[in-house]
Amino acid sequence: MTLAAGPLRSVVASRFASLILVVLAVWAGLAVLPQRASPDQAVVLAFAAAQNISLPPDSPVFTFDDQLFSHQCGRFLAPAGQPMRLFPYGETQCQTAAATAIAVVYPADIRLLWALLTTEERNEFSSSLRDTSYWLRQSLTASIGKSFFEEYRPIVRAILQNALERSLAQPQVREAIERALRTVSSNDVDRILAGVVPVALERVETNLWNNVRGWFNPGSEPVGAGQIVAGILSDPRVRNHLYTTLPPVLSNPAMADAAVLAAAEFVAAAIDDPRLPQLLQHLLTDRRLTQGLGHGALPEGMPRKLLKLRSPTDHNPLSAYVLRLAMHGHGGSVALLLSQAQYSRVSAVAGRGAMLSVVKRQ
Amino acid sequence: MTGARAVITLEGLSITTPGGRVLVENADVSLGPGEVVLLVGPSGSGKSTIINALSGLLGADGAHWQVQGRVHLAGKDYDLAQDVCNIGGLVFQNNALFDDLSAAGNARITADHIGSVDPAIAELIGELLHDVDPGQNVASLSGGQCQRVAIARTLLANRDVLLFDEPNSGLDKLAARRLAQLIRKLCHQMGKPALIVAHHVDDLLPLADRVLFLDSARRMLRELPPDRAEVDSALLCETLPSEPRAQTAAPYSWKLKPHSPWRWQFHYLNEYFWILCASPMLLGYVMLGAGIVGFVSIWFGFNYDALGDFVRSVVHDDALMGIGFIEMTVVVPLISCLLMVACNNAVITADLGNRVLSSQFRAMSNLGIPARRYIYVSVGVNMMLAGLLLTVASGVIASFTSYQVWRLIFVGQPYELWMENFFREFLRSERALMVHGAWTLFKVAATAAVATASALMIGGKRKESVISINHAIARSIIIGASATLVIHAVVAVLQF
Repeated sequence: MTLAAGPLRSVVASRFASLILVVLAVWAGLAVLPQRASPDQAVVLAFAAAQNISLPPDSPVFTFDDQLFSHQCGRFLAPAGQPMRLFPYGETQCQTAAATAIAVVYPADIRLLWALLTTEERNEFSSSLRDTSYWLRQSLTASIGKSFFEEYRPIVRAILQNALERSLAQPQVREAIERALRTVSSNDVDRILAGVVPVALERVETNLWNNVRGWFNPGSEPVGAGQIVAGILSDPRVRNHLYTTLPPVLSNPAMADAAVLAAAEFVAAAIDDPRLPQLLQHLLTDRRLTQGLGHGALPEGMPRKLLKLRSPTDHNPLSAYVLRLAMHGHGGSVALLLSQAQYSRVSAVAGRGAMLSVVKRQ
Repeated sequence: MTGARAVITLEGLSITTPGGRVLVENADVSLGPGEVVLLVGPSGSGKSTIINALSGLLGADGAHWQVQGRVHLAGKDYDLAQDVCNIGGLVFQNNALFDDLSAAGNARITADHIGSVDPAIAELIGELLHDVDPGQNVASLSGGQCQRVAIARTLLANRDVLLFDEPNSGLDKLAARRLAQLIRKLCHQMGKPALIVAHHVDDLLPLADRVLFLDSARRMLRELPPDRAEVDSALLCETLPSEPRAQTAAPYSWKLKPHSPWRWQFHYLNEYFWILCASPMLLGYVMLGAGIVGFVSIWFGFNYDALGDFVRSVVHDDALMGIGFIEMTVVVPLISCLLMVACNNAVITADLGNRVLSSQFRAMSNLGIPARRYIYVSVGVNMMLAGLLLTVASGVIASFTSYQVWRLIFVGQPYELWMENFFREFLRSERALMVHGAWTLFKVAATAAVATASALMIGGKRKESVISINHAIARSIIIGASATLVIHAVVAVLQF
């Protein structure tokens, strides 16, 4: 059977077009679909020294450029009871790194991210943090001075007082304070009292005679002991004396331990207070307060700086990996392939890490 | 009305339409060997119904005709009320050639289904079609050539009587006379009678042996004197020149050695494969759809996320995994099935509608060819195949486009980072791959089956006009596409 030239040409053209499309699809499939065969180039690794590090059975491996920007370069398989193996990606950069770089395992935490920032980036980040802290303090101070904050003051005071009482009622806090006080030497006490007692005597004497005079003048009010003590403490001479004599006393280890314990118990007691969540909810949803905060120094770009993203659309696989582990509540470690120079820079901040040595190349 | 040398006798013929109208009552007809009988009558009187009854086609479309009478033929009796009487080979008014086959294909498919070809008939056909290129598509044949191919095809069936339904319709005077002469000659050569339904009898009367008039008022058949026929017959035999042969080209040879009928099943499987699976337009448009899915899901997934800039990097791996998973298990199968069903249901319905409207199925049925089985099986198999192939191709193209768009957004990142995350859910374990693959396979197969069934049912129903084909196409697309959406939605709910 023969077809006429026209229809034959049409059929051939149609089949040819179909064939081209099928070949195109096959080519696209070969280009992007995962291959069933496992990668043939693997590096068997082992810790250079005994380590007590738990590695995930399958995790990414990263290399870095000159600016310590990460590049995901392979998979690191550490199945329980089997040798650790590194499977580098096919790119030349990854293959080279697998062949020449130092393999180190670091805890995947924010310290590692900090270590990967350059000095300029760290300075920039710190500067932003300082600006933000300063702005936050100023804004909050301004808000506390506003009249609307009086609505919150009684409940704030009640929560703080309750926290203070509960923390001081804790036996371990009391014991710590007593231990701390026992460490204070008589010389220290003498030195403190030496600047306080003369002023106290002066105040007591003055108020004593004023009270005696008052007994003969029915209209005048007697001065109480509390007023006398407040007067002593507000005296500039006493304050200046305490500023110079108290810090050395308070900085001894027992005193510091007691202070830390007391502060921790104070914070715990405050958090336990059922009134606190309600107070925070009111504060955070009070438009008068948030208006007072303003938007001048919000920590704009800080997450991007810490995650070391060079542009809004950038992807830093190591930072993302570390942050995801933190968000999911998983601790963990991560394997890095570093040049000697990079290792020096990273280890200066993040520590030496756990070095891996090559056992065999497959 | 029973001739002395009758080969076929029809007694007590009564036909009532499904609507209850009586067309003919208690009529008797006899046809002698080589006799040419004209059946005339007013439009709608039931002439075509009588020849349909003799070719076994009456009621084939499911309509409830009431037929009574007996047919005696060479010692065999047919009770028309109970038996299917297909003693006649019918040449349809519009020829009903299979327009997807060549001229030879139309003859060969018949030859393959009758088992053996009488050498005398083969010689007759060779003579009849001497100027017709066997490989020529029927659409490019002239009207006269089409008619001769249709007659040749009917001759091959080697039935006891030749039936013609208005064979001179649409022919000029000369062609009509040549046709009448041809019919006459064939009947004489084969010794078989011919019953011709005609409105315009001027060109046929001269060659007719007898004329039967279907009187619709009296619901009876009566014979008219063929006076003019005898005169005209003698005159035409002397004056009409025989059809001129091509002087410059050698006559075509028609080889009609029968083969296994199964080759026609493969023929139609192949034919519909290139229409329903591998048509470049279909492939191109489904692949375009898949490419757009790949582009949209990655571009808008990463560029217009509501989470902000730095979060994009944090969620990158999981977002890519989610996009890849949804793309491969839900969106790509849905888009490819939807596009395939919209295109193929239109093609199938139009194809079947055309075959129904032009009586191709009836012609095939008359010739003993299981046309619906061939075509329905071929359509079903190829729709299933198309669903699978196009879904795979769409998946590949969507993946490829996704990767290219991802590379544009995340410049410098390695291919493996994309691959590990985009296919993470499938690479997780063999079982995950099998489970998701099985669900996808199931919904694609279910979609193809339901869409095919709807297209075949809608396309294969009786068609009155081209408009009814158009309406059927629209209905088929809507039902097929709606079924696709419902199936994929239900499977998605079950799967996840």
